[in-house]
Formats: sequence, structure tokens, C-alpha cells
Amino acid sequence: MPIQDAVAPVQKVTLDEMTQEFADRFAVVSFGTPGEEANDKIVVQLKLKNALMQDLAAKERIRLTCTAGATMTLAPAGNGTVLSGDDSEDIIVETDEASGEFDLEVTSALAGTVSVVGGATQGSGFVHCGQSVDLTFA
Amino acid sequence: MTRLDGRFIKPGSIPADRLDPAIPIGGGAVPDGSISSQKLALALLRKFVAVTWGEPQEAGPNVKLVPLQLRDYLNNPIPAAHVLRLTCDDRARLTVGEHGAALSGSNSADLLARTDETGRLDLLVTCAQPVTITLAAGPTQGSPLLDAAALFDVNFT
Repeated sequence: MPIQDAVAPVQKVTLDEMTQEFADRFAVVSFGTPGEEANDKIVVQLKLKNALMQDLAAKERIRLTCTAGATMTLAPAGNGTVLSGDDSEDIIVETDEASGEFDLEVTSALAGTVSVVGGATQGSGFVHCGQSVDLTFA
Repeated sequence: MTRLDGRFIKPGSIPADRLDPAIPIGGGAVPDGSISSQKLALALLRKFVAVTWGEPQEAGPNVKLVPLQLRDYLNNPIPAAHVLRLTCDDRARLTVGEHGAALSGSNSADLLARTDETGRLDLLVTCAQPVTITLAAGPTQGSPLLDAAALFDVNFT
């Protein structure tokens, strides 16, 4: 084995090698499985992961927007806080520091699909919001 | 002969007979040594831009100067001009002082600005009411990867 092949694995930096503290600086927004529709409402949990896709217990500020005609708020007794825009299609939320979760309740009186998308906003850290969620209202 | 330190060795990366038998190959929790901010090359470290706030100073009647500095994750200043969005509540107005430049929204509560080449922005906050104003920074068009999680309260009481 030539020496360059021998040292190659050592030179390559992988995500798995990140320290916990470093990995936790990068938040990834994920959505759980939506609940059943009840009274034109569907609850879905937003949960933070770190760069290693491990659960991340942290407070993060995220802007959520959804399909026009639907509204969003914090689910009853849910984790997290709505900072602005409550009961609208454009809200800014803060995840619960102890769990990294925000329990989202989406309301739509119309049948069809409501898409919810997250994004960075004022006061956000490094947060990746590549995953969205589609909710089907009957 | 000094044996090699196995902290940075993966299985197959070096002849096994040169390793101290006490060194667990690939069996540790962190196979290649852990990657932390301290181990990032400077060019990579500066890709991750964090917003930090300095001590506010009196700049005039009802005006306070709040220095904003871009830093890396080792708390070193990042000497680069970057674009940020700065907001506060409607009771205050934001402008830019000596360091940095306002791009739009000057003298409003929603300002787009650019730091100077040292990564500094002098934010002037004007408020006529005896209240605490919370400042927030965030990314906007033209911003780098930005960690703006730190908010800052300016006390006018």
C-alpha cells in the first residue's frame, strides 16, 4: 500500500468526527408524522436535530410559512413559543430549549394539501430548513 | 523506537505491526480524533460567521452606539464586509455610525447594512422613550452563513 493511500482515511474529515459541542452548533429542522385531522386542525411536531442528525435540545428561532388560507399556532399544551404572527400563515417561533421541539397546529377549513416550510429569520443560528411537511386536509 | 500515537489512525491506514498493541484501532468513540472549532483551518473557520455585540455607548440625546462585530467560533474577529439585516421594535430607529454602511432602511426599525472590512458595524439606536429595545440580527440577501442567535438589549431607561 503506498503511503498516500495509507494516510488518506486520516486526512478526510467526516461528520462523524465532529465533537458534540461543534455538531450542536448546526441545527436541522425536521418534522414528525402529522397527527389525524380533527376539527379542521392537524398537529405536527417540529424537532431540531444536530449535524449528526441526533436530537438537539436547543432554543432556535424559526420562521414558518404555509399555504395561503391556512393558519398556524402552538398546539394546546405543546412545547415551544410563538414569537409573532400567531394564527396566521407566517409565524416566527422559538423551539423549547429543553427538548428542541415546537408543536405546531395548522388549521384549514378547505380540503387539500397545506405545505409548511421553515426558514432562518432574525435571531436564528445556523439552521438548515431543507425539509418541509405536507398536510392533507379532507 | 517511539511507537506511533493511535489517536489519528483508522484500520488499514498504517501497518498494524507499528502500532502499540494497547492502542485500540477504530474501536474508540472518535476514530480520527474529534473535529472541533479549534481544529478548523482559518479559511474554513471564517465560513461560519457569528454576530456578537459590544458594550453600548452614549452617542447623543436619546442615541446609543452599539458596536456589532463579526467573529468566528474561536471568538476572533472576522475581517470581512458582510451584509446583515437588523431589526428592533417600532419605538426605536436604526442608523449606521462611523464603521459600516447602511444599504437600505436607514432611520427605520428594519435596516439592511454592511459591516466594514474589519467586520465591525456601528449601530446607532435612537429612542425617545424610557424603554428597553431588543436588537436582532439576521441573514438577508447577500449574507454569508450567519449565526445571529445572540440578541441584544439596549436600555434607554
